[in-house]
Amino acid sequence: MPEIPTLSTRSFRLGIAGPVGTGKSSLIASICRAMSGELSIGVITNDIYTDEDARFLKSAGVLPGERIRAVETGACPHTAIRDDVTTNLLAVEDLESDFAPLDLVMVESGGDNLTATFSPALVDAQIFVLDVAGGGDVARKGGPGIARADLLVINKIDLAPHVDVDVDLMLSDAFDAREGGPVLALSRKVPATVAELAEWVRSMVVQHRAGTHTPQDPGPMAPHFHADEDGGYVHTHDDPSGAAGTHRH
Amino acid sequence: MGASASALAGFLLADSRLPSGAYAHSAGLEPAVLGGLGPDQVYGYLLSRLHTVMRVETAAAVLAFRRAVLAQDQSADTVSATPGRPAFAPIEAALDARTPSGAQRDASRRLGRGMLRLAVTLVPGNPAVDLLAREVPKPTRPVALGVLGAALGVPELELALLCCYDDAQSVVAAALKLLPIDPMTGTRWILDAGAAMDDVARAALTTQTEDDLPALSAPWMEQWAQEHTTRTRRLFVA
Repeated sequence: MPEIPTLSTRSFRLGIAGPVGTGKSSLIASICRAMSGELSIGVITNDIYTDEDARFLKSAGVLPGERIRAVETGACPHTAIRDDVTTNLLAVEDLESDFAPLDLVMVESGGDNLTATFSPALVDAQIFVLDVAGGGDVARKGGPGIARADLLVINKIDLAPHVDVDVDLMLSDAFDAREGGPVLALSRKVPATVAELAEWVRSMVVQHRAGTHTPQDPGPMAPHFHADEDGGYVHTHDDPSGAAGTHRH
Repeated sequence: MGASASALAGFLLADSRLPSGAYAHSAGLEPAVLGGLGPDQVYGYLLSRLHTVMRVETAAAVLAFRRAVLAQDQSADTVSATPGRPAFAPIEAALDARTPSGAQRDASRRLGRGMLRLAVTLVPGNPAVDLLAREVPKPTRPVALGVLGAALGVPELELALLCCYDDAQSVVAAALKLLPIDPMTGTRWILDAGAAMDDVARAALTTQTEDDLPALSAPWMEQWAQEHTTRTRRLFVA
């Protein structure tokens, strides 16, 4: 895609998606805190109604305030990361140009439902964030972000005993939903988990720079179930075998 | 260009699904609502925009459209060989001089950048689009719209109407998100404003140079737009 203006640098662009209140801003703050010594970082937030997330990050003092910018989404947070990424792309390019060279730009989606994922036109990779307090069964329910984001984070594991959630079971559900794709149990209060998150980001930046990382699209449609007289079947829309991939919903 | 192709281009540019970032803008309505504008005043607001901000912007869009047509008719070499006579920068300067609110100028440029980004992708190598990207990398909405309209073969009057229609639909779409208004009522307002849009579009066609651009002021809209830039709770950019 042609770039305006021509950019001398291109950061690794990482999207952070997930429902409201699962800890997207906090996760970004953790990455900044852990990695601002080794990476030059910028952040774009997409709050639905306020610049609260941008202010939270600024007040956390993890990055200079001018490297954190809020973008308005006209009450369409889903559109802003998927159908029309113009507003976010312009904000990312401005950050990259104002603070060149940036190694990493994180784009935080406005908290949305389980079907919201980033377009590969906006980000190179994406993290989908769930938390134990949102219910132990959410990972099992699946969805494009849960199933196919580059990384699924189960956040706030320190709260599990207080909300009667079995973290191991939730992680195992998540691994099943992702067919073995990476899942990370995180708590900002457990330093080893934050170190694991930082290591994942580090490895992605390295792959991006080496040109060995290919952005994947989690896609809007999750594998899903269809009832029929034989009891029904589960299928996906990227099934190359054809027949099962074309039908009405 | 055939009639079908130019009609299709017009539909495309009028569609809110066009990926140019316009959904994040309310044509100044959110600042107005936060400034006290109520549901029964939205149609009046829409007409006021048409007769002030849109009279200026549509005239600028028509000028940019004509310069773009010229740039396409000449070879790209000829155009770049006359650096002393920029095509689009003078329109931008004239628009800026007629837009006292910095917030409104900024909002227009965000929209224009989105439109130019789309143009570069949709019609790569078009001489007018290339010229605009070189001369004014961050153009205002009407200038970018005029150039993309010309590049896609939209007829002149349709382009002028489109400029008005797009603004009016931005007002209505934002109104439905901000105020208790029946969506069908909002749609009716667009039809009701048809004569006003036609009037503004036809007036814009009489524009010959930057000096002909009307200089109209809407002080409340300018004030509201300025106040919006420091708000921490808002759905729309402007």
